[in-house]
Amino acid sequence: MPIHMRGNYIFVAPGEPCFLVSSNYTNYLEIGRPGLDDFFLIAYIQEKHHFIDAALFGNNGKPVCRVARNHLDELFEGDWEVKTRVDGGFAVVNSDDRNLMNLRLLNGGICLIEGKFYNKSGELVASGNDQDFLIFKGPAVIGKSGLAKGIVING
Amino acid sequence: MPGYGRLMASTASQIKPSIVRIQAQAPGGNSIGTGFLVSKEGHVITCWHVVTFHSVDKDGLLQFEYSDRIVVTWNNRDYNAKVIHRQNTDTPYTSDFALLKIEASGTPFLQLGAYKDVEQGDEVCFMGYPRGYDEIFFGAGHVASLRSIGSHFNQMVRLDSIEIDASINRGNSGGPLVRISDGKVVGIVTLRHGDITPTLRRLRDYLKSSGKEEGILEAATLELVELAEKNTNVGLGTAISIEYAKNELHTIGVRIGV
Repeated sequence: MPIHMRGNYIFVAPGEPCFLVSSNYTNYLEIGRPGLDDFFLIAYIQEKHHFIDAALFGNNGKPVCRVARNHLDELFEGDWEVKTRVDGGFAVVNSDDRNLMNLRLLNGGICLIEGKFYNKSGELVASGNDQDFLIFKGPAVIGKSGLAKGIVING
Repeated sequence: MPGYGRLMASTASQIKPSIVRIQAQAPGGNSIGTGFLVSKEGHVITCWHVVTFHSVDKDGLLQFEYSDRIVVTWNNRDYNAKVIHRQNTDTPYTSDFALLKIEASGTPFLQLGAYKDVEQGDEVCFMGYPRGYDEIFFGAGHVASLRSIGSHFNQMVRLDSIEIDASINRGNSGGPLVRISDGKVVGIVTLRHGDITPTLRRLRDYLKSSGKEEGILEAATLELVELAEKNTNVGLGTAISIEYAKNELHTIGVRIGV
C-alpha cells in the first residue's frame, strides 16, 4: 500500500519561508549532484529568501540554461525563454507554452516548484505541479539543516 | 553647523543641471520619472520600470515592452530619447536601470561613484520630479542600511541596494542618489517604502474585475484604495547600486564621466 505524506514541515516551521514540494513544506530540495551530474536542481533558503541553482535540460537531452542564485548564468541555444511571473517568481518556458520550470511565490513566503525536469539523457527525473511533486530518479534530498538531511532518496 | 546649509545648496546647484525629466508613453497612461546625464554626449540613466510597461498573459507571466515614445526634458527643452541598451527579454528582468540617449552634445554630467565605498550613515541627496511636478525637487538623508532587495518585479532576484531615511515619491524613480562627501552617484532611486496591504490589493482587484465599480460606494472604495497605493509613504526610500548600470555602460563601450 503506497504511503502519501502530506502537509509535513521538514526542517522548517510554519510561517517561515519555504518550498512546497510534494505537498510538504521544506527549507531545501536537491535533485542530482552539482559537479557530478549534468542535471541538478537545488532550492534553498538563505536569509529568509528563496534561491535556486540549477542546470536544466530539455526532454531531448539538450541543455537549456544554468541558473545561479536565481540569476540566469547561461541560456543555451534553443527556443527557451526565462520570464518573470506576476507573483514575483520566474519561469523557464518555450514558444509551445511548455513550462520547464515554474517557480510561483505564494502567500506566506511559500515557493511552489513546478515543472518537468530532465537529465542529459532526456530522462524525466522529476515532475511537479500544484498538486504534487514526483521524483522518478534520484539522488534527491528534501530538507536539510547543517549536516543533517531530511528525506534522502538515493539514485 | 553654519556651513551645512550651504553645503546642501552647493550640492544641489552642482547636480541640478544634469537632472532630466522623463515621460514615457504606455497603454493606459504615461509613465513619469527622473533621469540623469552621465556623459557630454547626452547619455541618460533612468529606471527600467519608468520606460517600460508590462502585461500579464494567461499563465501569469509578465510580458515587458519598452515604450515607443520616451521624452526627456532637459534644460527646458524636450528631446525624443532612444533606448541604447535593451535588457535581454529572454532573461528575467534583473536590474532596474535603462540607458537612453538624446541628441544633444556638450551636456553636463554626473560622475559615478562606487557602491563598495558607501557606508551606513553617509549623507546622501537626490533630485527629481516627484509626483510629476514640473519643478525639480531636492531631497536629502542618510544611508539607513545597505542590503539586498528583490528586483522591481522579480522578487527572487536580489539586488545590492541603498536604503535611505528620506521620502521618495512616484516620479523620483530614475534619479541619482549622490553621496554628499564626494558628489558622486552611488545609486539609482528606484522605489519608495509604503504600500497597501494584500487585503486591500485583493479588494482593489475584486472591484476592478467584478464590474461593480460603477456603484458609488464601490467607486469611492476603489478610488481610496488606489490613492492609498499611489501615495502611501513611510519616509524611507531605496536606490539600487550604481554598479549594474556602470557595468553595462562599460560593456557597451559608452565613455562615462567625460
